[in-house]
Amino acid sequence: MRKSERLLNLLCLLWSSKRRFTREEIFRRMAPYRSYANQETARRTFERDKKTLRQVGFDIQTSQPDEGPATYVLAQPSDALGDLKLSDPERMVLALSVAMVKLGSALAVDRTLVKLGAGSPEGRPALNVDVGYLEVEKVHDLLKAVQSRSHIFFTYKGSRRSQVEPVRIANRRGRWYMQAREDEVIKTFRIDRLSDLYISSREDMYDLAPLPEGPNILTAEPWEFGEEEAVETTVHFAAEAAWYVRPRLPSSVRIEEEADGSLTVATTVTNRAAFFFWMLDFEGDGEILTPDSMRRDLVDWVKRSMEGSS
Amino acid sequence: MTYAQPLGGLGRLLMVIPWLIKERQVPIGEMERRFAIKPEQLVRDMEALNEVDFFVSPEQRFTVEIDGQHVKVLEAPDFPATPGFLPFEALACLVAAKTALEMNPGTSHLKSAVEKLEKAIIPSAAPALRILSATGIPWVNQLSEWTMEHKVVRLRYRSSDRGEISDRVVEPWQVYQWMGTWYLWGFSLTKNEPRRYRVDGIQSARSTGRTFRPPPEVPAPPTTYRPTPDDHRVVFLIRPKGRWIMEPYPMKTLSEDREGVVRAEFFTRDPRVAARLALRLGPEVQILEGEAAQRELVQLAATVLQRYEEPL
Repeated sequence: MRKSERLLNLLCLLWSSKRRFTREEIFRRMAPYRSYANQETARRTFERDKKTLRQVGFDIQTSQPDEGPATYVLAQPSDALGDLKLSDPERMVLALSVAMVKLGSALAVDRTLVKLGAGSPEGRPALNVDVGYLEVEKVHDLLKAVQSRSHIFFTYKGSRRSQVEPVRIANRRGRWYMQAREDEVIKTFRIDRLSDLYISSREDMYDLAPLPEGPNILTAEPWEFGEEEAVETTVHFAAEAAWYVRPRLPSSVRIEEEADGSLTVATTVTNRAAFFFWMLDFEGDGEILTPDSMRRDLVDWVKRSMEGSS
Repeated sequence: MTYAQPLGGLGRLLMVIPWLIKERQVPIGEMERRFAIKPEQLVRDMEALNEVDFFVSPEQRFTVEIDGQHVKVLEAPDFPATPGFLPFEALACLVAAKTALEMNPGTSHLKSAVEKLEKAIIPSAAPALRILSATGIPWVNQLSEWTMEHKVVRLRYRSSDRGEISDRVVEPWQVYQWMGTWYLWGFSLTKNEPRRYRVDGIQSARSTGRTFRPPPEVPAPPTTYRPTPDDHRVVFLIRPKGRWIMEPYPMKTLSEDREGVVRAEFFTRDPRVAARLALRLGPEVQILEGEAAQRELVQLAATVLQRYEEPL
């Protein structure tokens, strides 16, 4: 048995009961320790396992009574959450979710799985969703601020922001964002660019009113929430390209499938640079139909892409 | 009611196993009706779960007996009495669960677990945490099933950079979503090397009927580009409004002037990648060095302008 499996099994045993175990009891229940021919080797392995588990944050407490053998118990950390009253099926689906979703941070995923009653899956899961680097402490603090409706202060792209009212934490396309009210305006901040976070101790400082859902980085595409005058634009994609274009169309655009299998897509453009960047990913498979001004601008954009290239 | 199964094999497990653990014995017809799963598929899924040592100890296996009319749970894992989550662990768990739920909204146990975690962490602000995930992409379910079953697949694939369509025979290792895009990661028998494929570039896929043995240690899929000695070197001039491109694409800054205009070095296996970037970024970027990329750019521009009946 591999060391990681032995460690997980030891943890599971200690976790499964609130009572104390002697070393002999642990050895009786766990085949890996029993399998050693030499008891001294088994004892040293057990000592190393305890040390390893303590190093990764599990509080295994030892009690040595005046008489009799030492006993071991896994102490609950003081800030551990109480019993969540999860049913077995709920723990099972949570364990599967944790195994499937990559959080990209230094989280002890194995430990979380153990607490859910599952071990660390060997190998690579068949299906995996990477939600980007989850800065757990920062996100946790921000959620606490939302929960208590406390103002936050932080540095963003070099400028200090004060008395900001956080209202939502969201993940899209592998990035973490905070939506917050600043000067009565809802703004979206990338969490990885946010530093020197301070949360006011004063609570109930603002209302968590529902957010106005205008186009933003969480609900729309970059060309839909720019600052240019809005231009209704339609794009045509040839039938032979429709199969690969369709899955790449964002949910915010309006799609019409023509009788010949081609697609006509309508969208509101408020940022031409972002729109052309997206459009030209399809190279010649997409063509702007209307308005003429947008067609001309795209042609100009393409011609200018070659300017200066030696 | 039959539940949607956007997660393929894993989604099926998410739904059917908790149900079986709870019910212990179920009529096969009921299982087929609710989850659209045949008994033999259930056995294959369970074998896959046991095979990867999903459960903590060898004693903790999930096995069922199928006796004509019923599926009976013989062994099911024991769960610790109290998870005792630290707040950070609970948050990680909640994020993972909300991601899975976003992709698989029919999973009732997942939904109730999410509600309990939210109640523990953010009791009066549950909507404050939101996960938006790319869903509904064709082939994701089927490919993940073939991955679990170690089936060799034949893909009709359109390359993102060249737009060329060709057949690829692949041993699939993993289907994964990264930065909002789904990829298939596996060993290409056509190219004789590990390759990743955008799932939305797969026009059609089918199992060849052959199975394969995955390597003992499947390498992690690439998330950053690793240059090779044969790569093309391109030097871009990037104006301030186009500098964001340096985050998703690995580039090395060679110089920067007072206005924030950058000269950046970029390596690519295919010069068309650099040309496409220059085309898409228009006046914000110029190719200063890299003849092959410049030639590709002219060709690309001509193709697009032809659609608008414009000469180059």
